[in-house]
Amino acid sequence: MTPFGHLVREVVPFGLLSLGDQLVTYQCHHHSLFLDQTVSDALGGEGWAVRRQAAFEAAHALLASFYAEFGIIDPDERLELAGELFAAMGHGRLVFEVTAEGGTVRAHELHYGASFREKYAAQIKNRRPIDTFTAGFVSAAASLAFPSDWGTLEADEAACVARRDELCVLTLTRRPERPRFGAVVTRPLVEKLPHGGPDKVRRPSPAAARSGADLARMLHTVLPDENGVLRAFGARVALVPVSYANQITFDTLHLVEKRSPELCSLVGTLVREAAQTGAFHLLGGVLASPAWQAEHGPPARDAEVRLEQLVGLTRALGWGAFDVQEMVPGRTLVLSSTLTHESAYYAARYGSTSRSRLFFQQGLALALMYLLDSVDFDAREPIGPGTYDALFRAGVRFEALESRSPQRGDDTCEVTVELAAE
Amino acid sequence: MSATEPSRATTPPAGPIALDGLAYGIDLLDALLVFHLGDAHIHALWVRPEGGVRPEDVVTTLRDAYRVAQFAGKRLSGVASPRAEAPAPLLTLELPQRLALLRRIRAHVVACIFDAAMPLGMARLISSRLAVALEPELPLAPEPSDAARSRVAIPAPPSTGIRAQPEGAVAAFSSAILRAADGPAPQTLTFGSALPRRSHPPPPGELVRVTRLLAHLEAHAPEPHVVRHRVALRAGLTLAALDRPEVLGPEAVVLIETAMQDILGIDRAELRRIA
Repeated sequence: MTPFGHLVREVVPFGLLSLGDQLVTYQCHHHSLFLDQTVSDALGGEGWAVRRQAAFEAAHALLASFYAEFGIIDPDERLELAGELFAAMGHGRLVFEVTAEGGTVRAHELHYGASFREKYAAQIKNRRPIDTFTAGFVSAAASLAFPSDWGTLEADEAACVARRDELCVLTLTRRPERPRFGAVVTRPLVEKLPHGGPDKVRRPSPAAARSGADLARMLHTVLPDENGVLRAFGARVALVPVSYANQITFDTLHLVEKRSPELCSLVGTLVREAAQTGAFHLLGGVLASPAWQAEHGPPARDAEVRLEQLVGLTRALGWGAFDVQEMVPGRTLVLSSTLTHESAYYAARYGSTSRSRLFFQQGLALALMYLLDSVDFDAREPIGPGTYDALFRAGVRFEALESRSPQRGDDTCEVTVELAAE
Repeated sequence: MSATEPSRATTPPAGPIALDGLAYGIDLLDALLVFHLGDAHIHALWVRPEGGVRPEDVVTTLRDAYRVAQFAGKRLSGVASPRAEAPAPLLTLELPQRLALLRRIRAHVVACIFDAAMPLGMARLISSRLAVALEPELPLAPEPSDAARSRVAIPAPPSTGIRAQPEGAVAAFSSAILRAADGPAPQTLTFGSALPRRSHPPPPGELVRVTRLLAHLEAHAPEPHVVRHRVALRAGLTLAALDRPEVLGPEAVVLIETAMQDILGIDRAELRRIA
């Protein structure tokens, strides 16, 4: 199995990552599941089509760039590389049984389906297949392996472990429709965006630089298992194309804005919550992990030192190069960045807007605040299954405000977190 | 099977309607047909493979049935003038094998055909949501006449039966209804509206039940601190409305219950056992 860290390159100095020429981020299963769920909450059954289309577009661009780079033409070789890449990204193992007419794909230990089973199966029932990212990915892989004027091979999930089937199985059938593609947000495109130039990005502090470099090294050497699963820091971790995560976010938001504008704030809250739960579990999981503590010792009790470490980690995960503008422990945090993956995506795809669009950064800033204020890293299990929910049962609450945004003409992305009023 | 046809030269929209995304995930939906009330021309359709519904066989009959329902509705509402606007009833056909709900949207009818196992309330809710989703996609202006339609280069509708004319007395009867129904749908009827009606609040017992269910959800659903946001979003209500169920209508209560069922993955019977 390829260690997927080897395929990833940093977009210096913005703290972003690319795979091929596509921007990607590391995302834990808490974030992935909640974000997909939010799309379904907002759009119902239509959410499947929105997510699958986003996955198809992102995977098509990713695979096409690899096939062009390596000169791969043979259908079997194309499918083999697609399967390897999928596993190397931490999304699971695919077994293609596909011809030019269609076929099936058996999928093992998928990032979404298997994570759902592990996290929620004991608590809730689920009656719908959920592996839309996989559906879009295999659709793109099969359509590129067997290109035709008669349309693309479209995937549906016939069986899914998230609804207690034994295995995830996807069926591929040829649909006589031309594929639709939006603008693809690539590394070169992001590097050309107006962001004041690399000189505008401040150098990280020594503590942040060290934690970022150490986490990047760990991610470079960690191997997914034989089923394409990467378990790290108490979570399932996968590389997710920035285009996928942001396309499902903003397509959903725009549809809701058009149909029921009074519900937009609900979508924003839930998208922010997805980022918050993901960042809380992944960043907290890093600090609490034995591998990290073997090198760095227990997390610092001093909030400022701990914050520097946490901010450094975000660069290694491809979330952006963040600066702390202000921090009052337990009260205020102001977090800024010249360019984040979501601001880059929005600028490249839609341009400017007067509305709040930096949901990921808001969720990240909130997660940082909770990790500083509300987690006891001296406890036996600092980040356990019930830790996150317990934060909101008894603890303090924080609120996030998008104070500056390049989409509104500012020169930076800035989010302010404050203690919520009682 | 899925097929869509381009709409005619009216605004909006000119493109085909993709029904797959709308129909996806509705387990007991066998077919979704959108046809013109005037000539039963199929505007868009989605049929579940092996679901047993043959659109070309049923569309004219459904159109006729809807016309008859309009005629009956006119009589029932006591409207005597033939010039009065045709009503837009929600027509429900309950059969041992199937359940069909027909709603009018301007000059078109949206027919949702379910398996008989689908609970009637759920079928009503789903057909209402589908109608809301389809409404912006259907032409605003009256459809062109047959002569005008023939000038528009569109694929022929499925061949058998779609343009078949009723015979004899039925033909005369249908023609009379056809004339009576040519006007636009009354503005006062808002079938399929996503907004809760406020004129008939739910009974107090229902309000207590909704409050109990929300409490149950906050105690047992994942991520309880945002579960009210999820319910509100799924039900199409604001948080403020969810916090005051007494201002909501009975339709909103059904929407809230359905949202809870989806979030917990349970059916209505299980929900009733909870509260």
